[in-house]
Amino acid sequence: MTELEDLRAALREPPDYAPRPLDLGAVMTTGGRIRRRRRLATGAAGGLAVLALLVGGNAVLQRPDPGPGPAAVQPAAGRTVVRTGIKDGTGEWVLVEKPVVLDTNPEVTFGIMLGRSIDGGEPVGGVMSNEVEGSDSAPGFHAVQGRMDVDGHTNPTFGYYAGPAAKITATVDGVTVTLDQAPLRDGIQVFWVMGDVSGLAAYDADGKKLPEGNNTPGVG
Amino acid sequence: MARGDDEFVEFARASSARLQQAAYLLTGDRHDAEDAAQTALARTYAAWSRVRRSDAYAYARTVLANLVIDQWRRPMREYATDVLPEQPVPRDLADDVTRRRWLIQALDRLSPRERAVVVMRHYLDVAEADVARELDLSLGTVKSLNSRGLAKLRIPAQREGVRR
Repeated sequence: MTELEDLRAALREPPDYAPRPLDLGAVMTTGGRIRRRRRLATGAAGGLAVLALLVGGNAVLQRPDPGPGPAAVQPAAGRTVVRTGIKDGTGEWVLVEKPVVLDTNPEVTFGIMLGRSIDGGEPVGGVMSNEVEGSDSAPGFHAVQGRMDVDGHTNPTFGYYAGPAAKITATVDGVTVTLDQAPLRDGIQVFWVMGDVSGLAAYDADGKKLPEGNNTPGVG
Repeated sequence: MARGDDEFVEFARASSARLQQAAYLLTGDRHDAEDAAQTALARTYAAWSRVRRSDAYAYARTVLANLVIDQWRRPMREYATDVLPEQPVPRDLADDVTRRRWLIQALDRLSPRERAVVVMRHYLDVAEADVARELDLSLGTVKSLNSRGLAKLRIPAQREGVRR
């Protein structure tokens, strides 16, 4: 046998443990939850397109000067679109504010939507996230949405912080890292990272820890 | 026509072991492999109405490979180096334990994408063009990652011949 054939044979040898039996119940429960979330996201993206028309339509991203890191840009329609710098195929994940009306909670007036923008165009395939309990601007984390796979595209974890957060950290794969962030509007910072997070924390410019709020990611 | 849950159950039962084996080769960790395979199947179920019967395994495989690669896209994680293993695949066929231990240690030396390409090409038997499409890479990059991965495993470059 050639060495390549030896490698192929080695790859095919069973591991020295018995694979865990398939938990079909868990698979279909989780899959069903993803499916329902995908349907909601598809509806939200359509709503965003309508919103763009209502406010005058020009939601084309202004490309900042090339450079590393995130950028918040202010298109002509006055709606901030934050570029994350995370590419997905030919597009880039971007975050945009979106008005929200909740019959059950008048203290929620906006949410954030993560979508893919191709060549600065209108974001598509959006994942919508908003606060549901209490005020959408109470000091702390809000609307933290975890990583999901929607239609074959894996989105980063994202959310926003209400307050003077100069630094946002989290544990990602066992390591504490500083997340990318950018202002969405006065007093609201959006943040994002590719991966699953825990222990989200925010600090002001003096390094003092800020209120946590609702810092647990939701998924599905 | 909508795909039924019973068809998914049949598919999941038939493919679970192979997906777990692929996940184990990709991650080198039994528990990570079990979680990754289960997540890949859950995401396949989520898309089940759009996945044709003949594409179901390819879809699950694509989700698995990208899921595992994405797990490695972390800040501050050290990537594999170019340190070569001391020998290529052990040829003593009677010593399965040695060969299994060599395999995971050797695969750990590959970068995440090199490892994914090597496992997809040489365990899952995925054609180069399909690997490129499923991992969203150019064909040239797939060829390069395959060559580099095999070189790190001390496998000489060979013409692939008629095997796609």
